[in-house]
Amino acid sequence: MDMNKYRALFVSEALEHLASMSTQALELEKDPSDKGAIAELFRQAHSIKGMAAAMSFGPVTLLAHALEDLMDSIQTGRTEVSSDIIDMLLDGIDILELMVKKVDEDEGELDSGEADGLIRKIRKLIPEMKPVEVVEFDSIPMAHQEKSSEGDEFDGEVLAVPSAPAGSSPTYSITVSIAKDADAPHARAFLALKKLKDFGEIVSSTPSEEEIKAGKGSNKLQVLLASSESTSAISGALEDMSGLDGFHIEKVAIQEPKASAAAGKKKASSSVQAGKKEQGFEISKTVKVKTKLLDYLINSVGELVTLKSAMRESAKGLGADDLLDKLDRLDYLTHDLHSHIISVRMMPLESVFQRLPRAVRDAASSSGKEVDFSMEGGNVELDRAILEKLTDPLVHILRNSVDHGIETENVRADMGKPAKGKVNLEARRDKDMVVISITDDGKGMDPEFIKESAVKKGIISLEEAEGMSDADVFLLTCTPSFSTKDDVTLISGRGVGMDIVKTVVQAVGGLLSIESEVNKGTTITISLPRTVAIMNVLLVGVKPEVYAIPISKIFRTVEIDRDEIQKSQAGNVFMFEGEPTPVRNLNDALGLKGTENGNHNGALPAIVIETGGGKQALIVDEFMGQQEAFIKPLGKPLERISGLAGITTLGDGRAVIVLDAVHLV
Amino acid sequence: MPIKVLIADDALFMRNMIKEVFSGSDFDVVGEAANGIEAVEKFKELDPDITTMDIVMPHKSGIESVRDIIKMDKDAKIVMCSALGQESLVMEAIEAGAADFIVKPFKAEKVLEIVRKVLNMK
Repeated sequence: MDMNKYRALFVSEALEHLASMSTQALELEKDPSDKGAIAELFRQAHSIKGMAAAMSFGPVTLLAHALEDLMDSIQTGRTEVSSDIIDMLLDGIDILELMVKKVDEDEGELDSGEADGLIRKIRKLIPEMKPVEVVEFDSIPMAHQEKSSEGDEFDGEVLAVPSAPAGSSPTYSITVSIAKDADAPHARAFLALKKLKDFGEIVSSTPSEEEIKAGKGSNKLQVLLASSESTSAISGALEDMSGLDGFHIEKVAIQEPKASAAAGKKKASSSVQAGKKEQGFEISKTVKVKTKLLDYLINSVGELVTLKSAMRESAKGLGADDLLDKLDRLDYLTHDLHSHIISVRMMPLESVFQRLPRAVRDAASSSGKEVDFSMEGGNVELDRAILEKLTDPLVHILRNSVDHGIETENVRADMGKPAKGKVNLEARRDKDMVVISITDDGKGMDPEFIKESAVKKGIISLEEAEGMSDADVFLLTCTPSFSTKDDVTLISGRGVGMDIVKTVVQAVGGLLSIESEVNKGTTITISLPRTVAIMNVLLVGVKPEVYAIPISKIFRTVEIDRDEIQKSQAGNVFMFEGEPTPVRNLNDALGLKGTENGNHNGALPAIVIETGGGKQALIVDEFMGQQEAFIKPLGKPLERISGLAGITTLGDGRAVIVLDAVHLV
Repeated sequence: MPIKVLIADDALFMRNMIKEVFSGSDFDVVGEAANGIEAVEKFKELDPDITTMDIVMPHKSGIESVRDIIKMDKDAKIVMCSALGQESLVMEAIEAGAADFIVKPFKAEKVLEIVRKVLNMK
């Protein structure tokens, strides 16, 4: 069988199991008596072991097996849950994850060094596990040779024949040889014994049924069977058994009756897996779909939308009203299709949230702090393409909160704060945005200090610093030069890696903002678009180019009279809704040389946009209408340019760049 | 007439793999179950000639499912799928009425050999 095609499926299922195990391990840590978590962990480890075994991934199988045995030992009360155990468990989960991911990338041989170490640790710890598939192939000493009356392929070893009881049925002495390379040889012996039972009564067997069940015995099974069936019937049954490499059967002379010590048929203790109570369940009516397919679907819809726009242009040009009507209908259908595909692509934040408690726990324990972490809003949904970019930034922000925000117990005590730091993550939906905020009650940031630092580094000038709002100051911590390790101590380290977080957030069309108060705490807020949407865009001309700006990002379109514009220190402003609002030319913001715009009788078309720190106006040459656009990402390297959100096609086929106006200014 | 097969395993991955084993023309995979309860239901509904059953499954273990199925039909042919270190569970399953077992990683030929042997033992 070609294993490769199962690889992707193996990886995705294994990772799902591992994610669940992580959650359960943390639950178990909180409540070591949580039987549900123990049972789940056992089952998950078992599943991973099974899949890995099927794929012949030795190291993964062995480690999963060790974890499974660990959970079994806990479940049966032989091992107590301690923080060491939790650590081993989490370690094991981490190592398994690494190995599974390596499998995904096909990185050649799996390095089992770490895994082996952990397996040894676990095996030392758990008492008396049942023997792992080790069958002692020591042969039972031969009593005497007996002529084989059937003359089949048998190595001639015959075991001592125990005496048979008196009775009316003839007794057979049967010796079964389990194949040396048989899987689960004890189970084979057991199966053989059971099948023989179908023919009569087992007078005795060596090893006995109990011994086989306990994993004892060799590869030879010697049975005395009282049966009224024929030799050939019994032989026939034995021949049909798998896993045997020979057997020997002969009738035995009835001897002195001996107290029949035939093992009673012990009822197998039915040990039902302790676990979650059976809840009402549903036969799943869902399918698994490759995410590639979803990406393809959304792209196709995008093309449909573009084509439909182009058809509309043509129809208008031809004056074909009838066609235009039909295009309206097509419009409706495309939108309907689009919203359905979007909904397939939507995933609850929960899938990202899963990993977070672990990250917080690790950060807390490595920095010696106590943190109380809570999350809300896991059911809020988001397009999966955006969602998958979220994990790293969120983990990063949380780590920062713990490492650099939350103070140590002593410091907190001195300040009258509760010993445990509080970190809270909240997600909510706000129309077509999702807003995620992370709050800690740690030491906060001092804007004055940051300003000083920024001026010293030459990131901003003194004048700029003076005019800056606190919100903007805090955002300075996200500039690359603030994110060096040296600054960690100076500005209480919030900056570390934040520049990357900001870039990732912007790349998906989102916004990052920071609020903070010294000694009270810090809140970092990310707002993200919910979906990869077909958006309405405003086309603006900045000669000779045309650009598109998402309407949702435009606060207002205005026409500004030249004499409304006043010069100030920081640039031009004009009064908008009673507030002095900075205004500049869009082509300046884009860094382009533009022609003087001056053919509007003194009135300049401009768009007013809202940034984190207030409103701004951008002057354009002309407004060129609105259209529906499917915005495709630019891809590397263009996506790295701040201010560009993507690209779309006009009805006439022209490619137009979509601007991220908020980040242009 | 093709042999009707029911596959019970909670991993989609495993079900696909086992399905492939039975992709020959003399077999027909008539159903799949992802947990013990489904396994018993589908057995009732589809009356397969042979069932492959994972030993540990959610909601109801493989062993319990074997018991329930055998209760319904004492001639039911069930082959257990097990992995490393599950000998005692396999033996339990056999006691409960499983006809035979296969151990992972399994070779397609081995599985088919066992299945054919099991079916000949009618």
